Order: sequence, then C-alpha cells, then structure tokens
Amino acid sequence: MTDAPIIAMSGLVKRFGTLTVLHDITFDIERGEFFSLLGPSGCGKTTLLRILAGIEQPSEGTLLIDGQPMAGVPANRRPTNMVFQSYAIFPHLNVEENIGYGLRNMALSKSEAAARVAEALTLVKLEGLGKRNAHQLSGGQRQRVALARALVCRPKVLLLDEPLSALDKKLREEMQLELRALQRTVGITFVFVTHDQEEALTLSDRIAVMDKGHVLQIDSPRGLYERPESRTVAEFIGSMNLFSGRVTQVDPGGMAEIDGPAGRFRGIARPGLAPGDAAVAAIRPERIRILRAAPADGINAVAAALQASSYLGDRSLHVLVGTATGQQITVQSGPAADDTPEGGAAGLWLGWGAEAGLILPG
Amino acid sequence: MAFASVPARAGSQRDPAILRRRMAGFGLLSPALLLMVLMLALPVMALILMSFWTQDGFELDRTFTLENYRQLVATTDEPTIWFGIPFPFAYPVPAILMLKSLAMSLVATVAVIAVAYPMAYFMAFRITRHKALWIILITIPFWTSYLLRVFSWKIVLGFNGAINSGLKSLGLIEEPLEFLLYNPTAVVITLAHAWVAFAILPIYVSLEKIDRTLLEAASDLGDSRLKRFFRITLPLSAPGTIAASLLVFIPTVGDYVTPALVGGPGGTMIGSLVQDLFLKQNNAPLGAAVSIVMMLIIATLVSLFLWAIGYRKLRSRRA
Repeated sequence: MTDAPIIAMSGLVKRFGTLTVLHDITFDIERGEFFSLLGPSGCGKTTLLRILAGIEQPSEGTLLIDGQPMAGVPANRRPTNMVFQSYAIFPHLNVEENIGYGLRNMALSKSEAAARVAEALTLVKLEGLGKRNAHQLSGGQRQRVALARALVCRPKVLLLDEPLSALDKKLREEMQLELRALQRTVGITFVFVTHDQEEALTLSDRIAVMDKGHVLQIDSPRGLYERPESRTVAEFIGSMNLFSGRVTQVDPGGMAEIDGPAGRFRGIARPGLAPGDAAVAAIRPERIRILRAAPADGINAVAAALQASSYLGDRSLHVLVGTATGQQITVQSGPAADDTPEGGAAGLWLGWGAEAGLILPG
Repeated sequence: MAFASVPARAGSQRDPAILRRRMAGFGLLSPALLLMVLMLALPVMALILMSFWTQDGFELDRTFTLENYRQLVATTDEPTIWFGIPFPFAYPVPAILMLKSLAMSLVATVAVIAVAYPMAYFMAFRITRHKALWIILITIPFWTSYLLRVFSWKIVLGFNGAINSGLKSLGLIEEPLEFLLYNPTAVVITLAHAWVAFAILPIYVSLEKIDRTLLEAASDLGDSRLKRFFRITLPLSAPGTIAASLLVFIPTVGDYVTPALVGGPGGTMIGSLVQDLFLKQNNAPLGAAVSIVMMLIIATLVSLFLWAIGYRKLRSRRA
C-alpha cells in the first residue's frame, strides 16, 4: 500500500450549471510529496482542492484518497485538512481552542489533546500565545494558527489554498522556507494551490500547471522550466522569448527546425510535430548571447537593436527589438559586463545553441 | 470601529478640525436628541417627580413623600399566596403582577426566539436570490395596525372563532374550547406573534455576517452539520439573538393593550395595573411609582443577564 499514490484522480469533471470549470482531471499525487497546483485565477485549481477536501463534489469521475473511494464521503470524514486562503480562524475561540478544534472530534483524552495542541504551537512557533484571542493576531500569526489547526489532526493530506497570498513579500518568503521545512519534518503530503509561479517553483516537488480547467503539464520545477510541453506553460513559467514559424524539418534525434518571419530556428522538438505544422521556437532570456556579428550558419540568429538595459547587480536585463519582425526580445546576461553592449547600439545579433532552445507546437 | 476612534480622540481638545467635526456630529444628532428630551426624558422626569407626590381625593398633594414606595414594599404577617408563592406584602397586587408579567414575557420571548431563529437561519443560509423580497414579506404584518392584529387573534381564538368552529365542523369537538381566549396563554400567543418580526431581523443580520468559510473549516475539522451549528453558528449569532430577546422582552413586560384585549381577568399584567391606577382608580402618583419600580426591576434583570453571559466579551470577540 505504501507505494500506491496517496491521491488518485480519474476523469474528474466539475460543472457549475452550464459552466465546466474542470475538464477530465486525471493524475496521481504521491505519498509525502509537496505538490502544487499552479495557474492563473479562475483556472479551477481552488475548485480541485475543494473537491479533494470534500467541500465540493465532482460532477463526474472518481477520486481515491489512500486507496479509499471518496464518493459520498463528506468533508468531516475525510483524512484531509485544509488551510484556507482567509485562514478561517474561529473568532469566538482563542488560539488554543482554534488549534484544538478538530481534536474534539477525535477520541482523545483531555491531556493527550492538550499535549498535541502544545506540540503544534511549538511546531509553528507560537509558544506562549495559546490564550490570545483571534483578533489579537497578526496576519502571519493567523496563518500559523490555521496551519497548526490543520496539522494537529495529523491528516494524510494537507490542503493549502494560497495560504501565503495575504502576507507581505518579506513574510511570504520567510513562510515559504518554513513551510518547506515543516513539510519535511511532518512528512505529510501537501497539496498547495498558488498563482505565484516563483512560489510554486521554490516549494514544490512537483507542480501541475492548470489553465481554463485543464491540467497542461505535471513536472518537477526543473522539468517545467527547462522542458515546457506547450506554449502556455512556457510563457507562464519564468519568461520566455517565442519566435513563430512552420516546421521545416524533424530529425529522428528529437531536434526540429522551423522557418518564420524572424528567421530559421533549431531546437529540441516536442514529440508529434510534423513538417508544415505551426510551431514556435522558445528560448529563455539567460540562454541568449548578444553577438557583434551574424553567426556563420544563420540558424538561431536574430538581428536586433538594443532598446534598454537594466543593471540588477547579479545580472543585467536587456530589451532588444528584432530587426525583421519588430518583436521585443528579453536577454539576461551575467554579472560580467563584457558581453553587455553599448546603449542604443544597433546591428547586434542574438544567438544560441540548438540544445538551448525548444520547438513547441504553436 | 474601536480602533478608528482612538487616534481621533488623542489631542482632540485643541484641534479645530476635530472640534468642527464633533459639532457637526451634534448637529446630526440634535433632531433625535431634541425629540428624545421632549418626548422621553422630560416625561420620565415628570413621572419620577409625580411618584413622590400623593393623591388626595381629586387633588394632587405636592409635598414630597416616599409614601407610594412605602405602600409597595409594606409587609404584612399574612402573606398572600399566589401559585404557592407567598407574597408578604400588605398591597401584594403590584408584586404579583410584576412577577407574572416577567414570567409571561419570558415565555413569549422564548417562543419568539424559537420561531424567529429558524426563520432567520432559513433566510440567511437557504435563500440565495431575492433576499430583499423576503425581508419585505416579513414586514407585511406591520402594514396593518397592532390593534387589528390583536383583534384578529380574538377572532382566531374566540368562543365561536376560527379554531373552535374549524374543530367543530371537523367533528373533533362537541362544545367550543373555552381555554383558548381570555387567559395568559392567549396573551403569550398574541405577544409572540406581534414581536416575531422584530426578532427575525437582528438574528438574520448576525447569521448573515458569519463567514461561510468558517463553516467549511469546521466541517473540514470533523464537525457534522449539527455539531458545527452548536460550535460555530450558534455562538457567532449569539449577539444578534441576545439583542433580539431583549428587544422583545423589555417592551412586552409593560404591555397593556394585549392583556386588555385578549387577556381577560386572568391575563392581566403589570401594565394593566398602571393603566388602571392612572385612569380608573385615579391614583396617578401610585401608578407612577409602580412604573418606576417596574423600569428599575427590568433594568436590573437585563443588566444581570448581560453580565452573567459576558456580553462584552462576546461582542469584542466578533471584532
């Protein structure tokens, strides 16, 4: 049993009236994973989380948690607990009573429950604040109470609905690290909903990128960044320069070439592309080099003029305009200033190796 | 709210802008304030003053005396027994009627809350569209006069009224039931019906304000729907429910129209006595003293009640 996925979703569909917010969601979440659902607002990620929690029921499909079918199992009988976006701290109870809320529904002795509340307070670093009332807490403290209240029940899966979005940037970054450390400590599977790709990349073992009710890609942060499978994912994760065109050649070795208004591009191809298909060449800003002269083979070469540069200390960002198409291209260079061109310089060339770029269906 | 007023208070004595704003506040308040002073504070003061006078035949004796109050608390060795409770007063009628009024109002209040709470709950949690329409529907009884509504209860409960003739035509009873009208039960039913709409609104507002994610969180933490109601919904709606109970309890203790119309001899309340003293027995000073004592007793009871349930704490936690 221990190797079986903790959550198995198969063909989950959710409709609100005539509106379908989730289409055929099928994937597994492994035991002990920090798994993120990432997507823009309205992509269905929160609805999916609420289906896992049992607050919403799927219109179609099956959901197994720890091997048990969840159809007809209400939220209060599921082995999941949730940290709500608004934290949902009970205003008429103090911190201890909030954290101990779920324990009252378990067959625990008073002393055992008290010990677990104390342990949870220590875990989220709120020792000594147990008697505080809910309205005396700061945003960060409320977040910790919500976390402790869910963890104290020792769920098999902890569901987190954008728990950091209400915090300011500095506190959010601190809490990201703490959350990651906490997940390692308790070893519980975390399912984390966020619209912040940086947050998802920082925290997760695996990420499901969602858009308009579909799961576009499930991969590790590195996989999503380096091998996006679609244009949408490529654009959503980090920043990406895209050059459109049509496939001219597909090599058996997994490379492909496209030809478009901006030039000819070669890169690692998504399987399934055939000559004649519309496609885009995708290249990350940090993989582009700024050259003074045209590369010899004329592939992955774009003539451009520098529009603006900003120096950021550890790196510099350059915005260039392609000579042929007028499109903006972002290039990131390292701290060494040697490849930084003079401001306003025209007649520059951008180039990159074939292995650095991707050819995606577009 | 409390937080917002703190900085405004600091150093407010000198700052002309704040002073001006305060004066504007008084300006807004003054029509109501004027009305309250003229129609409430002055009459109450007159009532207090009168309670220290005495009636001498058709004349008022305006010498200051505590005679009226002495009369209300004067004891005797032969207590009057009412429902097994001994009242050791020489003039026991006010004390008996006071206790009876409190008991009847309490029953009416409990009945009102028992009817109003489910209604308010339904409106807050089950109605998703046309909420305003429902609120308007609740006010429909107020479109007709209170007297008419009390009279309609006479028609419903009367000897040849709706209930009796209905039961008779169904063949369930031979003779009309006489216990329906002219007794304390009729008063309680009429009061409960008359006040239920006033109770629905405050309860509805406090239920409506409850953040729905709190209920989701409670379910997520293992509460069944019933448990969740008792652990979250009920405590969070307590301020509104308490406000509603007071809104019903305080005015009904002193009501006299309802007992006069549907109470009969057994359904009299303290308000009936005050009216009787003022108008029939021509003893306004004693009537004033009874009124004052009644107000003091209600105020004391309400304060004790609020203190006992920790109302301050309840309210501060909602913030």
